[in-house]
Amino acid sequence: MLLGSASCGDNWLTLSDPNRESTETFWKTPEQFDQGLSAAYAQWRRPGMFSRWFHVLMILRSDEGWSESPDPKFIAYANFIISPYNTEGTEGIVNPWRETFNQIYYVNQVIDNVNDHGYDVLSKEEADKVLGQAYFIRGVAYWFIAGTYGKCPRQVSSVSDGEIIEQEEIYKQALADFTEAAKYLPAEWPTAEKGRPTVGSAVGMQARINMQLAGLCKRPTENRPDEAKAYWQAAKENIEAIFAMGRYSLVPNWLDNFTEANENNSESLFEINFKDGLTNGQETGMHRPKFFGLYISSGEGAWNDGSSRDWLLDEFDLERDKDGKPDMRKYYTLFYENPDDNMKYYGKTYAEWNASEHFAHKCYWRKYTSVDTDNKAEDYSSGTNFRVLRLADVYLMYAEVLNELGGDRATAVEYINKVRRRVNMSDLSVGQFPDYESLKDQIRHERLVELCGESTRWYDLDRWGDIHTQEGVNKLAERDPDFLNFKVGVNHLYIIPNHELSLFAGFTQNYGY
Amino acid sequence: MKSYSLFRKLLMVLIAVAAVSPGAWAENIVVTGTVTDAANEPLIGVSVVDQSKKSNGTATDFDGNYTITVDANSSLSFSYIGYSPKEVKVGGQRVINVQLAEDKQVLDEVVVIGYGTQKKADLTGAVAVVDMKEAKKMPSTNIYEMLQGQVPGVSVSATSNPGEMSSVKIRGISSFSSVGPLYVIDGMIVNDVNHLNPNEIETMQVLKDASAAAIYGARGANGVILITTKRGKKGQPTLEITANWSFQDMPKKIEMRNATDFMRFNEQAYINANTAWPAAGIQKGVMIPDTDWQKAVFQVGHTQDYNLMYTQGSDNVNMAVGAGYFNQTGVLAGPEYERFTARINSDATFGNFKIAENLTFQHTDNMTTNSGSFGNALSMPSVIPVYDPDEPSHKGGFGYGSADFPTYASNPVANQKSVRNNQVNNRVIGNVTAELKLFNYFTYKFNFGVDAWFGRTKTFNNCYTMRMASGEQRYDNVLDDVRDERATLIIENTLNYAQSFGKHNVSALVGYTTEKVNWHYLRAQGYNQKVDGLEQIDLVGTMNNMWGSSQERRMVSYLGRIDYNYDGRYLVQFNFRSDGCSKFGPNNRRGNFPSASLGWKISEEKFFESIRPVVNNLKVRGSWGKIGDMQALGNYDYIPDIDHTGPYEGYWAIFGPTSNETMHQGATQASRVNVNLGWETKTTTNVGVDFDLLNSRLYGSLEWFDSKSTDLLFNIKTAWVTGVSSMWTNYGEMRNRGVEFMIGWRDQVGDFNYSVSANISTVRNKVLRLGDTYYEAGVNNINRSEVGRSIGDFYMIQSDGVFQSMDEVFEHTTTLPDGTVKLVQPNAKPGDMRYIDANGDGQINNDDRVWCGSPLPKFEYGLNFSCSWKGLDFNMFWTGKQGNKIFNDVRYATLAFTVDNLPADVTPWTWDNPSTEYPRMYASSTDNNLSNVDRFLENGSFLRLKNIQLGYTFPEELTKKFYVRKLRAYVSGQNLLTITKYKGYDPDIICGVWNQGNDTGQYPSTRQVTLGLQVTF
Repeated sequence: MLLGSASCGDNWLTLSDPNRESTETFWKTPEQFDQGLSAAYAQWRRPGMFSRWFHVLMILRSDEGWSESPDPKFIAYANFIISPYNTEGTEGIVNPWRETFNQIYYVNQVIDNVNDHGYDVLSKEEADKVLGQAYFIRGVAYWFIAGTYGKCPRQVSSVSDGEIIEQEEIYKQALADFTEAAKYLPAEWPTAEKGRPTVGSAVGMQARINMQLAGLCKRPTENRPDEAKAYWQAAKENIEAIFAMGRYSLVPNWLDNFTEANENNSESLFEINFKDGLTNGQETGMHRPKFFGLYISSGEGAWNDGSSRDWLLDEFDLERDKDGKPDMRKYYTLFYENPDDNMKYYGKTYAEWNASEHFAHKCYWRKYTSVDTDNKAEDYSSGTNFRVLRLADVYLMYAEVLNELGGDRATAVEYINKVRRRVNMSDLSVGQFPDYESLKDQIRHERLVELCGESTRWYDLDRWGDIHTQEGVNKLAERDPDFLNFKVGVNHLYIIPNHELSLFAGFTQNYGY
Repeated sequence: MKSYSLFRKLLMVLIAVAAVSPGAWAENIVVTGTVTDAANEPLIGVSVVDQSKKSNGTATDFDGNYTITVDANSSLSFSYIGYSPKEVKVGGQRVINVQLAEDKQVLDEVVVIGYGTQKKADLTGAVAVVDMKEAKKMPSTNIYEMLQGQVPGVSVSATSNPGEMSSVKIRGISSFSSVGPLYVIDGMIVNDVNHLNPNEIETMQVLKDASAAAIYGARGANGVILITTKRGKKGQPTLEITANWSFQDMPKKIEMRNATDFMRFNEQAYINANTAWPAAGIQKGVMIPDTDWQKAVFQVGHTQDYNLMYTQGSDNVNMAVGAGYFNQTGVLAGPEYERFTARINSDATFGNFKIAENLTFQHTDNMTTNSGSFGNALSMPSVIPVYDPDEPSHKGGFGYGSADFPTYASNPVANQKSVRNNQVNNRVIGNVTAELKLFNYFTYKFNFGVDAWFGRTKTFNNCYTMRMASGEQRYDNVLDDVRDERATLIIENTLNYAQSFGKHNVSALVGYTTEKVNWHYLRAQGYNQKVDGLEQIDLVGTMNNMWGSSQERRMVSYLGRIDYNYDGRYLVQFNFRSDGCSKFGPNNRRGNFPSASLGWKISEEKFFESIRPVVNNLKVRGSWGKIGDMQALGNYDYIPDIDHTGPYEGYWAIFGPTSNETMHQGATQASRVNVNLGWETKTTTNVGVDFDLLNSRLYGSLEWFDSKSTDLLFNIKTAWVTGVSSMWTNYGEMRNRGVEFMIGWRDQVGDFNYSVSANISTVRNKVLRLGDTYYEAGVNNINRSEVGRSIGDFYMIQSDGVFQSMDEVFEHTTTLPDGTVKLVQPNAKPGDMRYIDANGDGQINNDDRVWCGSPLPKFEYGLNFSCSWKGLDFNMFWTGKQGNKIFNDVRYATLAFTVDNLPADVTPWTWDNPSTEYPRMYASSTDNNLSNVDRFLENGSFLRLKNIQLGYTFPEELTKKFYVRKLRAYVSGQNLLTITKYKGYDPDIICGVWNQGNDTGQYPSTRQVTLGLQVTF
């Protein structure tokens, strides 16, 4: 071969890569469209998205969580003094951004190629499904970016960059993507494919975004009540469309929402599928157990980089169930001193651990920390799917929408009661809620006890306006001193990685950072 | 060759010295005479030795006269540096006048240049010849280390880490990726000469400028080092055996706090942090350990090195056969490096046809050092025991941080034992050449070469628990087994032409070469060995993953050279190489690299004749040329591709129920590429002067160069919003300018031979183009490379002493542009570090970093002194670097003043003993332990006694009874003395291109004492 080179000249220098497929042969077969779409899906499981940082940003920044990690960056994620850490090494600033935009790039390749020639390669039915899933994935990405960084270029093409847009416009982009997805997605997937979004997932996310946009229009700085009302109305229609599908119901056992046993169940509208451990050496589990689980000084436990605030216990203690027992949701949400019970974490009760570990505060995270399946010690990840949107949430959203629209408080209370009945809490009566404020307060309480630790709280506080007035922030600071550092008008948005500012023309840091 | 003749002279002197008086029968007469040179000028200090009784000798005086009493039948030998020695039979003569001729061997010394040889006197490019006789006095474990301080412009950073290679760079950093030169060994181009046995080397030349290296075109940008290995020579067959044994230990001990002191500071730390002292709960009577971690980790290392070389030659056939064995253990438990090498070189000539081969085999077996032990040996608190049988995880039984002493430092003893990484290399480098002389003036040469490397790495991780909260419970142990191979094939055809027309001397070269390199890689990883003590992929409980890949690179090159000189006075050389490489797309595949150089030997001019007795040789030369590089680029980087592997989390889309998931393996275009990638180009101008004075006793050279590297390949960062992080681009530009000076003096006074040489070089690096802003690297991004400064300069926050009172905290304010007065460090308390708010925004963060110096030395130098007297020889070699800064990350870890140990030479701030330099203890994260602060930046200048050696050669009269022609024993010491202000273990550290000067606890150059023997039969 080497000798033969003499006659070939420079043609001998043309080599193909034996390790990588060339782009020239890709996007040609149905299998390749599935591969392209799967790569976009896979980003959901990456640390920057739902395996780790989504939860750190949504829980620690909210009043539910804080950090006592030895890593000062974790403290900074929680306490809003984040500017000094804006370097390329700070995963909590960099990874969510980078990995979400990786996903947007991958999914834009899918959309561009389906629109270009996908309908020639795939049957119309298959192509529609691919396109629907792709729009859905992009919608989720922009929903996450809108709720955190709140500013980015509108990347809707795999070959060119878009103009820079801000929070409201990003939410609208997500809304457009979910609306598009709803056109193409099927109502159901076969058991083996459960976990892919359905039309119910897309409409549910539309409802969420309509509500966020309504909240945004209500902000004191915006004060656009008419637009807000239109968004509440749109959300109401979305939710009623979901009810009309007749497909969803609350699971009888509340715990089934947080275990591996009964995933993609009748309550679930949208969840991220995880598989514990490694698959061919690649991490396919969710990191929440390691980052939010109980810290044990021997090293056998988790890291507790994200802790729960003690006031959560008080919120659960506001009410007892029909049998006079504490709310069962408290028991499965938090790990705390509980003399009546044998609640165990890694095989020991709170008191037993406390004897050796000298816990500094009253409660620790239990929800999604996989102590039920990995009850000896934490092994980094769990296979429990993360439920992004479940029917109980939708019921409470419905109650909120009805209340905001100034209408049917009786129906609103009934939907709250549906959520309460499952966990053996007594029914509320509409008479207890004479006005908007009283019902809103109840909804706030219900959302907290039902959804605590499910990474919804930041969006709630944003929508309710708590973080847009000094008064609201002062109240938050009473339960979560991290909010003493919160600057109104600044910290409702997260910090943009410095890396991007110099490398993307015209991009600037969020105000105040 | 020069070294050969010097050696012979030295031998003669030694033999003379050691001669035993043969008896009283001889008739002694007094002989006088004058020794002169070719111009009848008297020679001073010529050694005159009685050959029948070598202890009888004298030297000529200022008028060249000598007097000696000798046996009338004896003969006298006359030797003088720079002149051919002469032997004259006395035969009863009373007056013997002698004229010594200048040593043609010195003048006609031939050096290897690319694809040929040239008289050293006719060189016009910057070619440095390594004085192998001096370089070999240093017991080096690898070729690179031998070069340290020997040649100006060649910068070497050394380490004593068993199996780790020292790093070499020539004339500074001219590329963003690798900085190592190209190596050519016996005409075979190789990427590296790792593991090559230094004992096999005969000569080394360093091609520093574009004109010298352009013949290697695309790969010459970082310089070229040409190596030839030992060959057989006509004459008596020779068997040479060398052996040496060394002991090594850490260059120094850094005193840390003992347990009693540590307890005191630890309590302070918690009091200051307003937290209960965890250790307060330790019950009375419980024994607290007092571990000297450095003592626990470090040990004495050993080296043994044995070499054997047999050479034989005749008019037509020559051969050399050699073998070597080398073994080195580390200054801490675990690391070991074992090397076995063999070589066969031979050549045969038949008429105008000559065939030759060079073949070397290397086998190395290396247990590598686990990183982190040097730092942790300092930061680990002395109250932690080395072993702890009650350790809660039951993984290894080592002591580490606990609830009483919650340190996150790792146990360095466990660190060495937990992971065993075994690298085995087998490599064959060989080439066959066939030469045919045609029509008197032409020589055709065919060269076929192979460089075949087979490497395997087996890593077994016992997963011992070595630090608090490190628990990784996914597996009990991990086995990684890697197979790696690389085969390079080279075919070169060259045609040489040389002819003289009167005073016109012309030679030319044309060549056509092809090269093919293949790589194959395979790795398997599994967990939980089924049988304790056995470590095999066959026995893993859980197979985790496998990886494999193969790559290829091809090159086709054309080369040419024209040499012309007129009367040996005016010298001209043109070089050209055109390289085509498969790494680039069709548009930019070929790079053309021309160079030209001129020389003028002023000393050969008529008008110079009167000066020539003093200035024997004076030559000025200049060169210009372009050379290239492409090492930064991967083999297929211009081809847009689909990624099927994905990130650490893979491209798995997971659906379906738990335990029965449907796994969709994804693939996507994850990167963007630039199809027009092209060669890096370096354009160099070089001006040099060579001189020899006073009968070549004083010699030296001076060089100035200016090189500009353009189109540097840079994986330029892109905004993450584009979906990709970087893209390879021909983007950067850098300039290196410098001066190199070498001067030496050698002389002989009777039996006393001595030489002194010194070299000094300086390089100024400047980044001319680099992306839109700057590039940061190093620990906490302290190295910033930006346009207008040298690469990797330090940017850090400036510290400004310690707050002594709350008043000082309140006085440390910044007035913002809107008039607001802002407390810069509102959370600070007395005893905390004060930082300068450099950007005036009223707070301390990364934006307050300012330029704090460069990690690159301002100049580097070497000093060599050698002498011999009768059988004794002595050598001393110093080397140093000056004017560079080092970030001492290891010291930073011990000055964090949280819960880790602290050095004995510092005392934290207290109210009673307020320090102005060191802050207070504080058992939590504070601004006091910001690492990117100038207080951890230290002066990295050093001057090191690299080698000192004393040898003795036994008298031949004695040794020849045992058929030994030469027996030399020596004792030497390496790195025995280092003059530096640097507070770490060793200021000579190896770092990457971007993160220069980061001492993160690299393996230092150790102190070493060596005993050696050289036996020649």
